[in-house]
Amino acid sequence: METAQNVVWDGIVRGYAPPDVLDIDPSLTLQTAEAAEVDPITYEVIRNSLQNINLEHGSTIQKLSISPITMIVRDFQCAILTEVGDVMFLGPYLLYLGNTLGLTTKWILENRSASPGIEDGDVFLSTDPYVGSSHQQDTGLTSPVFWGSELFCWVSNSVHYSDIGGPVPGSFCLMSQDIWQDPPCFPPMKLAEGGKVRADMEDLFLRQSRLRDTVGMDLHAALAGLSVARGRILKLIERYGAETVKAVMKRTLDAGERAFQEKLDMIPDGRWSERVYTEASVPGDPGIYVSQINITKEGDTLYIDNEGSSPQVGSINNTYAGLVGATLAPLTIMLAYDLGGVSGGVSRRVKFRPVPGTITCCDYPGAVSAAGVFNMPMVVATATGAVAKMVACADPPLREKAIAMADAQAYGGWIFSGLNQYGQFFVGMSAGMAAGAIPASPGRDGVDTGGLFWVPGMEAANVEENELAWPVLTLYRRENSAGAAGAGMYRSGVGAEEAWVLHGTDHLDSQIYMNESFVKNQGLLGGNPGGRAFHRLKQQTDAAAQLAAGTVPQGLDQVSGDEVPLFYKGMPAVLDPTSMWTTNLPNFAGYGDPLDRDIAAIQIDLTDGKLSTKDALKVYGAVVNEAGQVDVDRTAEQRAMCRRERLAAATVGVSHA
Amino acid sequence: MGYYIGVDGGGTFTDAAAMDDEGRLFYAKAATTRDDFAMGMFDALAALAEECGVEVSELIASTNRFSLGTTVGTNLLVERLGARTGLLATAGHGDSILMMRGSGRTAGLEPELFFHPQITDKPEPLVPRFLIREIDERMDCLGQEVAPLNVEQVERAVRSLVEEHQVEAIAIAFLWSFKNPAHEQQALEIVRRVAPDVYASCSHQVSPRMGEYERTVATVINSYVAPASAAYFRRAADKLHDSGLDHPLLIMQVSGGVLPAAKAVEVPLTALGSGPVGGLIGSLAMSRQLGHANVIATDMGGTSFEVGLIINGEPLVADENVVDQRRYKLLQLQTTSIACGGGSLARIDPHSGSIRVGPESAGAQPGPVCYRRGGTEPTVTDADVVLGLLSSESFLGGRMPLDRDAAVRAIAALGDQVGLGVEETAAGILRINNARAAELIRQQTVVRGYDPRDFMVYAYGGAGPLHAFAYAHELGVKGVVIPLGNGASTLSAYGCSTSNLVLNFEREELFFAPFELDRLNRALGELEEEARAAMFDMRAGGDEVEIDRFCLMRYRGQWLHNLVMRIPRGHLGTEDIAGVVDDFRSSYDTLYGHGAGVVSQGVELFSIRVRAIVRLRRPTQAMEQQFGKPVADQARLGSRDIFWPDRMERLESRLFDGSRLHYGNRIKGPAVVELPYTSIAVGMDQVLECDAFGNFALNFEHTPGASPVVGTQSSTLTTG
Amino acid sequence: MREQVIINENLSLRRTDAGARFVCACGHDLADGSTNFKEACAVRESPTADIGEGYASFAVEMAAQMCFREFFCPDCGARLTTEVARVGDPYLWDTAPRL
Ligand SMILES: [Zn+2]
Repeated sequence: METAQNVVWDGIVRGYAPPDVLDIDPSLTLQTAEAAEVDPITYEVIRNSLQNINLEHGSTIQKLSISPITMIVRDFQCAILTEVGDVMFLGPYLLYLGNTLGLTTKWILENRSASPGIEDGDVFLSTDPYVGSSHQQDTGLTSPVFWGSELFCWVSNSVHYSDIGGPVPGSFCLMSQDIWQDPPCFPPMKLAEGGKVRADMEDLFLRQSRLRDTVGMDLHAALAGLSVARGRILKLIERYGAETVKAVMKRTLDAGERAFQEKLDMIPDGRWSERVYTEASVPGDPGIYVSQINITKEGDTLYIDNEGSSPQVGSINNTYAGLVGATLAPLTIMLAYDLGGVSGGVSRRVKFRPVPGTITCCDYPGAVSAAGVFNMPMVVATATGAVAKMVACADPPLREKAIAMADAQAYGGWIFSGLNQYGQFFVGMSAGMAAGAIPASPGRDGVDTGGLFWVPGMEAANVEENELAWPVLTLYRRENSAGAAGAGMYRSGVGAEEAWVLHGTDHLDSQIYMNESFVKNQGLLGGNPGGRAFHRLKQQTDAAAQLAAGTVPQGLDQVSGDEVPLFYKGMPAVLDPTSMWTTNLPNFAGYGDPLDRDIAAIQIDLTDGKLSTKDALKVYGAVVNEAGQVDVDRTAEQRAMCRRERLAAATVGVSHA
Repeated sequence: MGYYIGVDGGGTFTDAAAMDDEGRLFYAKAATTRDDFAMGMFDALAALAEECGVEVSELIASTNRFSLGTTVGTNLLVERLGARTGLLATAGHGDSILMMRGSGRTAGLEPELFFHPQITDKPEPLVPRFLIREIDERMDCLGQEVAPLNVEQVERAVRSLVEEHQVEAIAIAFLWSFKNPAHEQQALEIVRRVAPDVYASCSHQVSPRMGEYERTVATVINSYVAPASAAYFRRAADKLHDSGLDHPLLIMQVSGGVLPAAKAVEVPLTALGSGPVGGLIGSLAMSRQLGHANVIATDMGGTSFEVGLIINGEPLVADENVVDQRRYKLLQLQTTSIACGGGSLARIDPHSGSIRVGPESAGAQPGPVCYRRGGTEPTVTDADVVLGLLSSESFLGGRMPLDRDAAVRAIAALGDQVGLGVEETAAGILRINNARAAELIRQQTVVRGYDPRDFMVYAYGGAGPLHAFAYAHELGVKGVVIPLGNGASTLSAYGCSTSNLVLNFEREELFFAPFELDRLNRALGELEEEARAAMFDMRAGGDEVEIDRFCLMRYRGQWLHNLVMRIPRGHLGTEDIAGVVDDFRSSYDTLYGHGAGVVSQGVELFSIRVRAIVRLRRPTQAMEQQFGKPVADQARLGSRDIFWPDRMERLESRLFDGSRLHYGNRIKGPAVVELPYTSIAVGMDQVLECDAFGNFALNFEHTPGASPVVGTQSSTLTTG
Repeated sequence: MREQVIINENLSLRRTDAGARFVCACGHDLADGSTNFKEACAVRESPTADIGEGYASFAVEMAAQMCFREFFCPDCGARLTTEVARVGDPYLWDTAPRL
């Protein structure tokens, strides 16, 4: 950590940034001995077992939890950590949560080893973003695994809980000006002791929630994940010995660091940046704010800073933990894609030089509960842009691993509440748009509805699953076309759109929706930015009448009624039986000049109905004849003309300001 | 004498196995004929009749039971030779199968690839966008109609698909059809009326499970493979009937059971991939006899290498299957496969200048160069012949002499391109092939956290026994069993012949605890009736039908989790249900830790299953009574120089006639045991032993990695 | 020692007698390697709503503060990079590899 002096990164007044050597109470003994020799088969068996244990930890949470946010959207993460809290394996879930687990665990080692002490069978719960969570809802559980009297390692998870209290359902407090208007924030406390859950602590946590039962189930799912992982690690140690298992853990981290190092060797030194704009620090605020991430590569180390980010304001902040997690996510995908989630070795070569007091690294008491749907995707997007530009400068073939930006609103998020068709209160978060899209890379188009790369296991719920849980009817869910949004020499995969009407209720409160005022996405090195994420709402429609008459409306323009203008962080919208609501997850970013796009690739999209003749001409300068074929010669002329037109419309000169 | 016959067709060879009334086993095989699978089957039966010492007509006429397993559906999918298929989907939801829930890019792939977006992509769609038709209709989650079916639209869509696009099959998959199938049924009637020759299936029949994506996939795959599969079943059944078979032809299913052909054609999806299941069932029968709790069942044939697992005496059952990154829900025994076998082609990779083996295969036509059927590119089998592991004279019991010179020429030509000698090239081909097989086993065991050292490998299929000495050894498993010796190359056929009639019925219906007893009893009763009626249709009924009833339970809201709980027989009372709920809660705590469940959280039952089994009688396998001497002189055929790829040296190796080996014989490597349909390679430091059931056990004297494990285990004791 | 850094199909940083230079694939010598090459580009600044369908929102005043910038090679017109930015904000100096 290189920061201004006299500033304490203690997890209290400022985010927690752990020192290289932790200050742990001497009463706690760590298991550090390693076997000198491990044969290759044993190494492979143990390494795979550990990875598999972590996957089983994740699938246990996923299976046993009941909120769609966790089980379908995979808005959680789990990890095995070394005795000092270095993250070893991450699961294929929400990547940015990985490092938050390491921070929380290290903080516990430093601040809880003396009192109340760290013992076998303990589970610590923390919701404190200044210690190490991305926002309060992403509650972390971390549990020491002891072998004999020594602390061998940690198992840990972070799960997004549907409601953990605070002034609004879902706990995303858009109006917050500081943390006291946010849901409560619990620094690490002992949820379980000696293998037993403490009823008082469990109640303290659950008592805050509007959805005590749901959150209770999810909490038990998270506890079950820990106990599955802990049990299997102990079996592994029993069979192979603590020193052998530890040797495999350390060597796996070393190997990860070496593999990352080899990638860094292929990248020139230099500095790369990305800037993403956002609006509305609280609902109604007309201001525009900046998220900026810069990467400086010097030899074998990456230095990350957030200089250029706006001063912290309103509810659009994230803590140091969020900044670190959001940056490591795209680094893992672009430079550690071959490590299967071993991220610990990577973070050894990445140093942070954060500028505190900013929206991308705020100080206490900045409000952060909304970060999960606003800041975190935005900072991941910002970091993605910076990392992608750096990786694009790498020697081939590494430069092909650069991947353009997913949307800053990548969840297509929409949070709503009301009474469901069974008469129960619920808070829903739409996961239908989790079909995502893979953005473009140098050398490759993205993948249409190919998922969200920084939540590798993410999956869209089936329409039927949504309709079973919520009082809605999905009129359509279909892929977008591949027009201007995300165009480029290599285009982004397309996103999707869906439309809902109410069914089984006559009232739904739309709590949070993200109608971007302007596009926030950035294209990569000549590509178009992705599209603008938006929702639309029409009231007083005849959708119900059309359905009853046997027609399923297939577009907002196919129903009568009045469109209600929706704004970013607009006031909660009320849906009634005449409402029709659409959610659009835009295509993500493209790469390279669209006029350089291969004609054969344009032809495939035309034939497949993904690209209109009009967009082929306007976006790609491709002239399509009446038979639907791209005319090669006329396209060459057209493209030459486009280039001339560009220059005619452009000005050469130094930027203003 | 009566016979119980199993046939496994569709691979490079069509395999046949028979047991007679006295429990004696016979095996035979013949080349699969691609144009008309039935021809290959009759060739195999002719060979089987010869083994049994009877005329083929007599064999068929005196057969008490005839079971057929097939890879025809898998071949259609893998080679993309299925029917041109159209899809009718609910308006607004035709993209579902293309969007693949956003996870189609990585579905079924190893988790490592999840972090690597650039090398993952979605598969080519089975139904391209222009063959998808959206139909105005809608049901809701309770099965109530929201919008009526637009009948004219269906008719127009069907006409357009059939007349303009010449589809040969149609899949109908509407939202919530498993709750209320009325619209799918209506649409099906229209298809039958408008296009009576086009095969059509509905999602509520094929996979009546929640989740429109998976249900649509199941239905599309079913329709895609149906026309060719059904034709295959019918032709086989007709021909067997014409040849005097007096019993219905039974078709192997992925459930591990069999069904009469007339029933199996209704939903061919349930036969898809049943070939490897036959081998797994055969391995299971054998592992129970031998007392092996953990088995890696490996089947290497001409085109593919299949792996299934038996853990603690039970085959792994999967509720979901992923074929080619397409996920669907169907109860089945789990097997995994890669294209890797005797027919795998060895080619030069132009980019790296290295030799690549597979995934392309020469199949049975043209087959390996040494088959003299027009093959010009060298295969793994050609390499076996060049090295001397396979004899050119005694292949298929001498009925099919192999052209060693042609194999040598082809491999030499390949070697020339990369500057390697003939033997080096052939050995390299085998080493690459074995490494690919070992990697799949590693994926299935190590990657899932199972240590292969706790397992026995069962090696069967035509090429398994010949290569297991290398691929199994590499993983350090306990040992290898070549089940049934010569029968190993036809184990799937044997497994088919041992299978019972099995039907699974399932209904998704939601019950909140305390369950409405009347509704539950009614639903179970209906399902049970359905199962009994289906069995009755198959001429099985009364007491011989064993009914097992299960339900899927979860805590309220857990969509992705369930525990399968057994429901007691008969009419359920309040106490029975309380017992089932208690069982659920305690199983949950056992699995996920004490207190994992939340007492206040309601329990729901969301699906009921009825499994009907009719156990098909068969004789007990005859055992060899006499324990012979370890020395196997009676079977000695002499010696041959073999170039062993694992050692890269030529060694004088002893040859044995496997058919003359007896219980108690021991053979030390290097040696090759020749059997009519396969050969068993016994490497240096390996010993082959014969048991009373005709199985051969291949034991390794040195297991790699064994000694360090012992060392660390003892250090564990002192640490702990 | 690298002779060049490929940034995309059109833009690269090359070692020349005059030191490290940003160069276009058309041969145009764009700028010194230690500067922001965007300053040497032909720039077209347009409303974000004009990028294509779906880019316009109801938040017209907010959107009016933003623009879409395209940076072209002043010689051949190749689009070297783009950015969405607040009108009046400096060009982001985002790509500064060193040879
Ligand atoms: Zn130029």
